[in-house]
Amino acid sequence: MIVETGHFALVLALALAIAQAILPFAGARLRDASLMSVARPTALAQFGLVALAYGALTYAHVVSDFSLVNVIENSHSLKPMVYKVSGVWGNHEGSMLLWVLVLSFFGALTAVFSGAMPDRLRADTLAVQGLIGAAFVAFILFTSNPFARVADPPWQGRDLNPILQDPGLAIHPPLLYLGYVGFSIVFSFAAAALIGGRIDAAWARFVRPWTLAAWIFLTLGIAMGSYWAYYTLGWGGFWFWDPVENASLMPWLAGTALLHSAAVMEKREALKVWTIFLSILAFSLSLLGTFLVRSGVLTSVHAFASDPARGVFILAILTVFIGGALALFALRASALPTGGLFAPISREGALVVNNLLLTVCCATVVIGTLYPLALEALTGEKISVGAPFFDTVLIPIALPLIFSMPIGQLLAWKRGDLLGALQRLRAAFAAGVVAIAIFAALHGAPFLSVICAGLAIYLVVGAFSDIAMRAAPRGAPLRSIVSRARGLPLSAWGASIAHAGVGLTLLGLAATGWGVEQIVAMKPGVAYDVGPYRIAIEDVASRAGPNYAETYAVMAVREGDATLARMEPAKRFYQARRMARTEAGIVTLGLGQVYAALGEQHEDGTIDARLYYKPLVLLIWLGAVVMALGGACSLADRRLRIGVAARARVTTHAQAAE
Amino acid sequence: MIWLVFALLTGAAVMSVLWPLARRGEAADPAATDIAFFEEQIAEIDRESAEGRLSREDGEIARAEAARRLLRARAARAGEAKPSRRNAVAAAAFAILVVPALALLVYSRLGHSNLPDLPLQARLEAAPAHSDLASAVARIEAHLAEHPEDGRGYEVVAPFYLRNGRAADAVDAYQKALRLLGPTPQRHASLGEARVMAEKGRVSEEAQRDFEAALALDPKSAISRYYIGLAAAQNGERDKAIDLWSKLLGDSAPDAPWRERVTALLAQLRGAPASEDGAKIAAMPQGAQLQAIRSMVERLRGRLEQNGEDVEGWLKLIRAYSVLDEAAQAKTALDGARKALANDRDGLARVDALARELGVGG
Repeated sequence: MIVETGHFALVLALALAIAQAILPFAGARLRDASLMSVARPTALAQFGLVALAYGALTYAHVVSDFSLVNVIENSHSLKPMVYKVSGVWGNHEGSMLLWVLVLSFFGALTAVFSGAMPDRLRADTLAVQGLIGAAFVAFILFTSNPFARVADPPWQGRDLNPILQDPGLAIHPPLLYLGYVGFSIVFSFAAAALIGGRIDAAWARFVRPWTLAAWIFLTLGIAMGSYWAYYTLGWGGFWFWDPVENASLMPWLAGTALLHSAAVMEKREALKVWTIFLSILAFSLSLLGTFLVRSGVLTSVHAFASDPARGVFILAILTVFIGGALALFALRASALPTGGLFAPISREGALVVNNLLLTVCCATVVIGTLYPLALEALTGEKISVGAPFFDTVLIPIALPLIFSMPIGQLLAWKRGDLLGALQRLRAAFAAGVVAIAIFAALHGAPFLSVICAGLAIYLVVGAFSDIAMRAAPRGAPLRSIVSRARGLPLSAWGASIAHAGVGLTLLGLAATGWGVEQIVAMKPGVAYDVGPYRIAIEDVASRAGPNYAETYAVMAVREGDATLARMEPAKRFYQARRMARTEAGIVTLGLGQVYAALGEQHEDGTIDARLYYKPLVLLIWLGAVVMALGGACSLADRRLRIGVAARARVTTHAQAAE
Repeated sequence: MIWLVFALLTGAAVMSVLWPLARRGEAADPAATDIAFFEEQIAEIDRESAEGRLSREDGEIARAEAARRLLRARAARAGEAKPSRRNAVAAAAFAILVVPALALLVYSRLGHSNLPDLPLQARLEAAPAHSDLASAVARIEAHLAEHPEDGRGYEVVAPFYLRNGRAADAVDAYQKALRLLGPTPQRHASLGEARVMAEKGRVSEEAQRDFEAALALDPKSAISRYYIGLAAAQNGERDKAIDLWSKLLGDSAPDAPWRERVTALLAQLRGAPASEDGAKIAAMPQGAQLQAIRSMVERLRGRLEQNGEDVEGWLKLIRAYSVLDEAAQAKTALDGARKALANDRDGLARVDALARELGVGG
């Protein structure tokens, strides 16, 4: 009964979503307050229904109800409980249901926290959100129903793909979806603003927390996914430029650009059209990512043809929403009033540069992801676009972007003083140069790593220059510095912390150049050099897990004669799916890691292993966490934002923003 | 009962639309929020200037800008939104009629309101211990999950796996039994046999090693000798296979169950066909083989259409279609058999039993 109740709740959610899309929208057009007020309760009820459906599916997975096709195909009665729960989103149908759950969650949150919002904006926003919900619930019900049943249930399921049986999976998709789908609400806001024809600073103020929240989750989700790939795929890599990863990176780049342009819009009412465009773009890229991952296009263009119902359905959703939003944009954009004026060298100008560079990065990733697919569809030729392409194109764009980040922070609104900003960055420049010298002396080549590491230090120091200047103006007494620093707006702290996070990640990335990789046939007992450490196998044995059997090696990590730590890399075999998986052995030493993955075991007792020493590697993910922390600081800042323009000296240079 | 729950859910959903309609909320001035926003912004600027965080000069500029926007917002004051009775009635009708109707329509096409939840544990408890094989297997599996060191359990469950076509699981179970309980010729041989099943009849090198291990412990193990002979035959070592199997026949009792099969295989190897049709088909290339089998099946079907009282014939036909993976044809044959054997109660029972066994026709 629980299962069918969940199924019915999902069907009901579809019907209610249609009502949520139509009634408030009609209310906004007819200027009828009571019709518009339908939006909030329906958005809440919508979330309740989808949550009920999701709970029912989770229940079916937990109790191994093998009368559901979804449970048969993705569960096993012996699977540990945590993977029974996370297995719900470890498959196509369940993950789409999670997608819709997050979508309706953001709708409900908007309904709750929109007291101060103009009625029409709220009604239109929730109507658009309802429309997106209706489209995706219909997609689930008609092409990938997780509640499909069988009359004669089997006694055992086929188990979850072993690669997905990992704590990483328990956290990664929900975080990623909160980010990815979180941009839906920003999209709905943009569409509502275009429909209503009113876009101003107040709009940007309402959208700010949603953009930030989605961006924070997406940042954490991507970092989590990358760390997960790093320790489960057993190659020591953390980013593969895989289309699935790119699918999450594209909305992140667009979302980062949006975050910055929305700040300009809120403070100075400039860049309106551009901000609206980015709002549409961020969610469109999320939709594109969903299409790529969920339609089967990625495994092969031909897999798409094997299940056309799904692919065509998502493609239709994609076309309607992106096409519809862009059409609306084309109709309305020219009618938008232009906003504040600013000179090319100003905070706004710096943010425009930031936006341009981020958008170019984003376009690069889009092209690198879609080009191979288009080529395969047109000519049948399979190519893979990987790290060489992205490194070559993105590094030259990213480096100037990173270089200009602290400068932009120091420029005043409306018109800034570039020379003054550079002067105030003296400390940061000095730190960067010293860092380059130190890293070059310590590690030497590669050249790019040394430059990037120096740039990273410059960025971290530069990120806090603004805070330092404002908290400690020349000659200020020590006591006042603390109170001034406390008094600075949280959003200023947020920006500095987030920028410093980028610096930390960059330092971690730069340090990959100094890593050591060894592929050796290890004899038990013999120690092998890996960077500053030595690794030796002490024992090889097997043991049984709940639904797998594994062979593991006990490896000691030594420095000189002292054993620092032991790790147990393993190879697991999952009986139900007859699949093997490597489990990397990882030891964290400071910010660096020693990483070992097992390969073939030979008859003479030697084992092939990949051994890595990765200095500072943790910074890659810690940096992302710091970025998210900065975002959270900014999110906590509930005050209104004011952009203070410098007094005009030469007014003739000012020009229109748009 | 379940429909009561559905009705409550639907009621709640409909109420989420009706409730705000009934409240006839006060219409807010659409410009009011903008005005409030800019007023707050000005207050913020004043506060910052007062605390000395904004220089007086900067504060003035920012204040002037915000005030300009405030004026613009005041000027944009539009007419208030008025609720109308007619709109509310139309919306209520939509909620009461369309929402439940749409939900029922879609659910009636997709849902199975008559299917209860079937959690595994409850099913195991409900099924009597000997009622069916599959539930017994599930029960042993649950036991093994808690006692993974119980070798006997693996040994008991393995033959069930083989019978259910889960040969890979059987291999795993026999391996564990062998490890936990220690080697016997029987265990090695069973493991080998399971491997052969898992490889769909091919005797792999791994399986051969198992049989050899069994023979090392017990040189008389008939099953191991049979499979080693089969391996030789599969590898094209005809003479070796003939030699092994002849010796096996010589050593076995006259009523040994494998005698018939080994004799037939030997005859095939020596060139004398065991049965005319079978040998002919065996000699053909693979595509033609299938063709020949199909034409035989068609001939059988033709014969049964003429004379439907042949129970054995019907059983053969249904089995053949199901082996050929032609579910629709098997279903047609089943229906035909049921019609033709309507007066033959025993025959009908046998047909039904076969249909259940093969899972034909639901």
